[in-house]
Amino acid sequence: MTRRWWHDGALVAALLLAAAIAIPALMSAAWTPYAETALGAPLADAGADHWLGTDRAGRDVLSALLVGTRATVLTSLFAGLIGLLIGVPAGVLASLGGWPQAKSWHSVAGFVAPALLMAVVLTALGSPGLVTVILSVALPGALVVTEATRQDLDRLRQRDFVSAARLAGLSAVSAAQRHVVPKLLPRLIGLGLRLLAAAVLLEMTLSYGGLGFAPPTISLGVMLQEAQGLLQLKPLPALAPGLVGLVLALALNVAALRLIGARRDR
Amino acid sequence: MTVETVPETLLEADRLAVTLGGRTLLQEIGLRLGKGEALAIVGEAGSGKSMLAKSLAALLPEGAQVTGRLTLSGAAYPDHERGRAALRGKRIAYLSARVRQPLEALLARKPDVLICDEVTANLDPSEQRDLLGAIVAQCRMAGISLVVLSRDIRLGAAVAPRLVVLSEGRIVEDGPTSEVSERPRHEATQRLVAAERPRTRTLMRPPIGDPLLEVNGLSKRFGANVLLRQAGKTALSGVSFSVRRGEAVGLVGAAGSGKSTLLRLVAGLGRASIGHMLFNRERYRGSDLTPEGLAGISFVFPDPRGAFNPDLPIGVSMTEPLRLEQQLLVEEQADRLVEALRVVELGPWVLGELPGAFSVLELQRLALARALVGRPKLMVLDEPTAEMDPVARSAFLVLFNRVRADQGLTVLFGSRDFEVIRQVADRTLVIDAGQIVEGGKPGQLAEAPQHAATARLVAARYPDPYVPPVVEAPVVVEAPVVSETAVAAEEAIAAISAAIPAEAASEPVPEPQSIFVPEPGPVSETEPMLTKAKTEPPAVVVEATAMEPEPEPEPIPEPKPVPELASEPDPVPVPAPVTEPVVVAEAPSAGEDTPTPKAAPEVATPSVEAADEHAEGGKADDAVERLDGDAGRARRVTGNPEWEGDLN
Repeated sequence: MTRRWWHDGALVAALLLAAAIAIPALMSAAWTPYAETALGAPLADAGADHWLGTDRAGRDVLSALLVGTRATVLTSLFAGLIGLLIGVPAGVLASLGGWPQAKSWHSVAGFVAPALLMAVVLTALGSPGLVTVILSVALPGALVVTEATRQDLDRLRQRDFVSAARLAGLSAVSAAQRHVVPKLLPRLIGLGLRLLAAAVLLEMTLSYGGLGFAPPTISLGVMLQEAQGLLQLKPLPALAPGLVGLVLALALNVAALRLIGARRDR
Repeated sequence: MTVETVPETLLEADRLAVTLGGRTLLQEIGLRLGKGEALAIVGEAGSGKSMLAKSLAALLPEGAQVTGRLTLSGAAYPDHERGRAALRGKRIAYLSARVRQPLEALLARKPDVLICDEVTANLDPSEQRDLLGAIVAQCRMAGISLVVLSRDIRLGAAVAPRLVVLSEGRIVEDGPTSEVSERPRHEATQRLVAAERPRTRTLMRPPIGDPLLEVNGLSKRFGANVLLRQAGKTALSGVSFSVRRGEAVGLVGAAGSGKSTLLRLVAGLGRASIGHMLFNRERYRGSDLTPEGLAGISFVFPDPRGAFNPDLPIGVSMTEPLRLEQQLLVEEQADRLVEALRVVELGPWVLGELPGAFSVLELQRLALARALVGRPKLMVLDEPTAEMDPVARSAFLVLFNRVRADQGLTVLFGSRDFEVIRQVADRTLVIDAGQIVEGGKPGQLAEAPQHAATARLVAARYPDPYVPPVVEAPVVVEAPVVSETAVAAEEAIAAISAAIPAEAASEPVPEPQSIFVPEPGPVSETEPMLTKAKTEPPAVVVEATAMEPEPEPEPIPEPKPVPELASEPDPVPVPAPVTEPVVVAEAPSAGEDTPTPKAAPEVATPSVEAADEHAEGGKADDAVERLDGDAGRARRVTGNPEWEGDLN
């Protein structure tokens, strides 16, 4: 590694931004400005008491935002992890086994459409909720991860320096440890971050559309859905979760691109 | 200079300087191109050629600071991109290896000038020749001015009667092709010229013994899939040959002929579908080669930039082959490394550096060193000079031949360039469409190719564009000690080239040797192989004006191949004064060539299409055939299909 990742300003900034959103959200399990269920005056404006005002039921928007973000982030983490856990080994097997390429799985359409479809099916089968969201993100995501891993691995394995190591008598495993894994790892982490970003947006989409979480569970998507009727009157309860989700997804995507991009061409 | 030939100035640069990102890339460029004139600009990598091409084509990148004047038909280039775009769309056509669009489409717009920037990079020699032939012919027919930029001086000499040499962002020479290429004054020009006169084969070859490698009926099919019912593509079919100890076998074939597949199988990469190989009596089909076998064969990849892990120091990569000899102590390993580096003339300091710190030539030398650390019995090289420009290629081949002789290596060397093969091989195999179609000494093949593929490969070379008078060449017989000799030879050459101008001056009129004969289409195979060996004093020819193409002093008949083994020490021609090309150039093919300085009526100066306007009084320009030459191939090595479009 000639260039350490922390020398990459954009990457560090993006990670810090994502952390600035995710950490307080995760800490909301222990502390929020107001209890999740505490009710005050409904539809209060933003002020010293309620930094982001209160919603229709009189709940503190900031507290709800923290809790909702936590739900979204945790769900996305799970979904991303499951996607990686299934996709990476499958990709490795696909590359080593020389399975024919599935070209359709590395495009946006290849991911979002099946995710929505899967959510609809899962909702029909059971009830909307945590499992639906996780599975509808993780399973299509796993396919994308499989294909990406496999393409990366295929390409790396063909590199001449890997062949050179094999000709020098290194076993497949030690050649991989030495030449393949160090190059694959940052890309896989980047891939995981992209999956995470996609999961955040998908959770918002699904819950907003009634296919994911539903009240009383709070998530960013649920908050959006609840606040939509008052958008003209009181934009803040709708804008806040929307912006938080968007910025989080953006930051994760930027970090992912830096990780993947920085290791291109090598 | 050529000014008087210039009919009417079309394009002119006056004290042009270009700075980009704080670096001065071009300075003091003064250039004038007449209407319908053809001009070649040559220079080594990094000399500023592309920047000049882009400047002339009004394609400068954003942020480039330009001073000086650039005019087209007297009008300055527009300051604004919009105006420049209009210029490019209409009057200036630009062609490069990267933006390769159909020539016809480009010329259909009737531009005033066509600028070709390394257009032949990455093409096979015969394709290069065809492309250049087409460019030259069409420009001449349509009266389009032509500017060709290349790293290869022969290419430049072959297409234009006037040669401009660029070095470190400045024009260091500008004059008629014959003069510049025969009497290079500037050292950059001398290097370019010297690169085309390979002085290799100065060494004694190791004795040739019993077969070390035998290849029996090898076939390889790619992509066959029983489940999908795909038949796949046949890369090799029924290849058989053997390589004896101490022998250097060249494998020549066009791109896609199966050369790499074969070489990689021999080295232990991939697995043959049918057939087998015997190395040192051990039977294998490719990747099933045992560790002993792997240790006995080393491989050199075409692109050294890809052959070293970019993230690991050179020393780490170079130690890998030593793992096959586990009994080695750490000190012994270090000794081996240092020794291998010494052989390729590099110091131990390189071990701690990352591959990115080196040029392609240096990296390939390192790859050679890596191939040597395990003390292999057989070295397999797959187009090791593919990524190099002529200067680097020549340097690498000189080094390689010396290393080979020093170490007594058995070699299997693949290349698409017959001239390269000629310089390194005792015996050559021609591969075409997955089959070995012909074999023999390089000289024999060149003289009397039996198979069409051979004829194509052989014809691809271009004859030497200049016809220097032959002065007696002192012949040096080399001693086996080699390294010394080689060094001496190189020095001698350098000295000679330095002396050239002086000597030349006293000479009668230099004759033109070339005739600017555009020959569209594939060029006749008749091309004299050895045009270089002209003995006639040039003066004679002078009068052969443009009209009369053929008069070149005839090239020598192909030297007859000396039948047997290469074991006899080649008398090596050492650089004779001025440039007796024959000696130098031909020397490579095993002892076979004896330059006979005698003119044999040559078959042909190929097409006789008039040479005309370009030639000024008696100065004719060169035949098209020499158009090929594989200038360094600037292949982009990125090749990664990215998947980043993936998730949203």
